[in-house]
Amino acid sequence: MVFNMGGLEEIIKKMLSLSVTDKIALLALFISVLSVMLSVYSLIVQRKLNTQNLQAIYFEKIFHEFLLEKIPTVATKLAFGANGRLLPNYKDVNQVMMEMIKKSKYFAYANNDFYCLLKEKTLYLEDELLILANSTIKDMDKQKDELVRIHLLISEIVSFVNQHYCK
Amino acid sequence: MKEIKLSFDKMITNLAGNRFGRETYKNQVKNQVAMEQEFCVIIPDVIEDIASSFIQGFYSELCEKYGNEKARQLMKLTSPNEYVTNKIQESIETYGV
Repeated sequence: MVFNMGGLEEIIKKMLSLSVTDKIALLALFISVLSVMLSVYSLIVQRKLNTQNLQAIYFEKIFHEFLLEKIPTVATKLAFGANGRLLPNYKDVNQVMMEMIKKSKYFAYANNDFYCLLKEKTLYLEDELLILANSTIKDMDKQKDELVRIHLLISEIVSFVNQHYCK
Repeated sequence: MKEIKLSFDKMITNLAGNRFGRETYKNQVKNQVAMEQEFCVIIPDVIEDIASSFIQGFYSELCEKYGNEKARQLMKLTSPNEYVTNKIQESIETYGV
């Protein structure tokens, strides 16, 4: 492909031969077009920001109490009893997660992927808690390991929600 | 309405896992009911808790055959343990079957 330098040279020569008034008019036209393009771009960006702000408001309304209060409150109470069984207040963790899923049904329509994944994570946590509650662990170190594992699963859910809050 | 009482190993106090739910339905319920017959499944009172995944697995075959709405209409899952019965209700409302 041969770049047509001849055509470009001619255009440049013609532009240089224009009068000062014509050059100013051409520059003004160029600036106007650029300014229109910038206005359209900033409208698009503003619209995107508005949508994000609205999502952020809904996020806060829905998840605020769970992330700041309810989940930490029930999670800190997870413990094993003297008999090596998980104390029954593990049920409160599942209860809170279920409450959170119910309250966040808006996202089933606004962001279905997020909602489905959140449901999956809470279902998995529920399974792990019930399986753990079924077993007897007398070894203190193993008890600690299991509690750490559960807390990590809870952290994963909280982080997942936070990540989407920031999007 | 026909009643079917489930039975589990005496070491089990909680029911969890989709696969376990499916297997329980297949082994203890499926062959005991006629087509489109309404029935009630009773979870023994020694069971202290039930996972939503188990409930989903338990209903899955019936849902595949009749759809979610009709499956819930045909099979009622209950327990003498009030906590478990309430959990089943809440779980179906929250996660569906």
